[in-house]
Amino acid sequence: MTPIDTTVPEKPRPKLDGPEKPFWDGLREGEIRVQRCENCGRHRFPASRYCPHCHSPEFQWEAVAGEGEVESFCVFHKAYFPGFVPEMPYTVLQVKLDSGVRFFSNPAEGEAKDALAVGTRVRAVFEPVDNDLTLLKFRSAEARS
Amino acid sequence: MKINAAIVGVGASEFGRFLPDTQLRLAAKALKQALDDSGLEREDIDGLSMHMGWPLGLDYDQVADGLGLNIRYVNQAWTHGRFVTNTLQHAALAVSAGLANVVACVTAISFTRERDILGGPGDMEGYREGGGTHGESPTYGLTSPSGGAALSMQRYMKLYGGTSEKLAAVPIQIRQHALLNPDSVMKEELTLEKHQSSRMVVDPLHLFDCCLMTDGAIVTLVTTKERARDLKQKPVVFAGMQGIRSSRDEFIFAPPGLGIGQQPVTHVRSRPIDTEVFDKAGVTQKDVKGVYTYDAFSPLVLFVLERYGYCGEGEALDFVQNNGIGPGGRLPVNTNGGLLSEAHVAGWNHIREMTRQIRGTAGPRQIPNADVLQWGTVWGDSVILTAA
Repeated sequence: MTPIDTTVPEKPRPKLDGPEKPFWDGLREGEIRVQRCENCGRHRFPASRYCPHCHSPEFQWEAVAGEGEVESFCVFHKAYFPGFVPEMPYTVLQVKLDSGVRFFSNPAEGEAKDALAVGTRVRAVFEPVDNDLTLLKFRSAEARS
Repeated sequence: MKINAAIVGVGASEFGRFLPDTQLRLAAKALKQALDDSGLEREDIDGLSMHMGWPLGLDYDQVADGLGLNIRYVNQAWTHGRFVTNTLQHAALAVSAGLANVVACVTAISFTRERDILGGPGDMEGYREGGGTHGESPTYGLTSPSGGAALSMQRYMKLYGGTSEKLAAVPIQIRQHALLNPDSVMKEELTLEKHQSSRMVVDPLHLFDCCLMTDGAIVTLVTTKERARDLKQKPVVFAGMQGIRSSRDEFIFAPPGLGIGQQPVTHVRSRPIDTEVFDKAGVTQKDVKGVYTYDAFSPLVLFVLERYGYCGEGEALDFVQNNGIGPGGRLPVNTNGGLLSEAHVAGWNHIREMTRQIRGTAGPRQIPNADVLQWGTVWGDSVILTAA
């Protein structure tokens, strides 16, 4: 019998096989897939059964472009999970993509700590953590890839 | 149904860090003091409105049993800032509707024993699927309540201007109130220099922009106005109430319109839905002698002043400068010293202070003629308390 793992995760992992499975599958394949309402046409994320704008249950998952803007950010000087300790202080971003969907995220690896401010144009970076998980991060749109 | 309710007794345990008493023992001390304060007997209490319960404390049945109460009405939230008003309002509704004669609002907190539950692996709320109750997004390290407040303040400063130095006016003035309150955990003056040199928790929030984590209990006794007239103390009347607002316009630590989480970006300003409580109480902002709010983080005080129309869009940082909210200020806020400097008894220490102020027994902190006071939070819920 496999013993139950009760150790603290280095970093919390998202649920990859829940309602947002198409999103996580998309990131692994280098695409940002979100729900698009078939009634009013608006994109949305996180996943929901009904459109928060028009309440229609009809939707498709589709890829949106990775360009957007930093709406806010904060810098953690305290780590609540051990995996964040080496990165301290680390930045959390709120990014709004041009399609209207918003994500909490972090600056991509190697991004200068002060490169992103409120209003900075950014583009998506797909950062693999392991075979199962790729995270959506952001880099200043002016920076070279 | 008209609200027919008054606060007739308040009692507290000691407040502090790592208190040896259990939650039940703290609650028992607070109850005893509340009964003495009101002149009521234990047998008179037949309702419980609980601002505690799993996962942060004992449930109603354990409290009723442990305190020797015989109860016929219960409302239970759990220990969360969002449910302070709701707990108080249910007590007022229950006595108004005749579901109970005397409702005890009970909160008993042992945060210092359980601090791991507020951010990190032990935080069942923050770590849950779909994100936490403070807008947490653990995958990206947005793992504590302070993160949401920091995101809000950063964007607010970008839109309206402002600095950490200006924000410091909030905790500095609330500390000045606390220094006049012997129950305060914080005993030293907070200077701008101390604020600025304190460590960052989540930039732009310094240590002193974040509330205390303490232990303590408070019991607040609520009955009808008629019954209140026959009791020991001057009644503190529920003059108006409005409930918590919930929609995509709301993000836990942001004013509507700021655009945090899923909030649409509009103007951050007081709307008619934010100020119904004044109409219900038959007063305006000009009549209010002091404001009391859930000051978990100093930006929340700014958001509250704007939400309830004490100042306009983006004006709160200027409003609080030069003793806007301190002792003898233009609009005193949290004269007990708040969660920032008295203790974190989840805002019930503020309700206790409002009661003392309206009775005229707040000692060196007394606001002259404190006949109308507002409790109002960043979530849009509010109660206006008045002298009878």
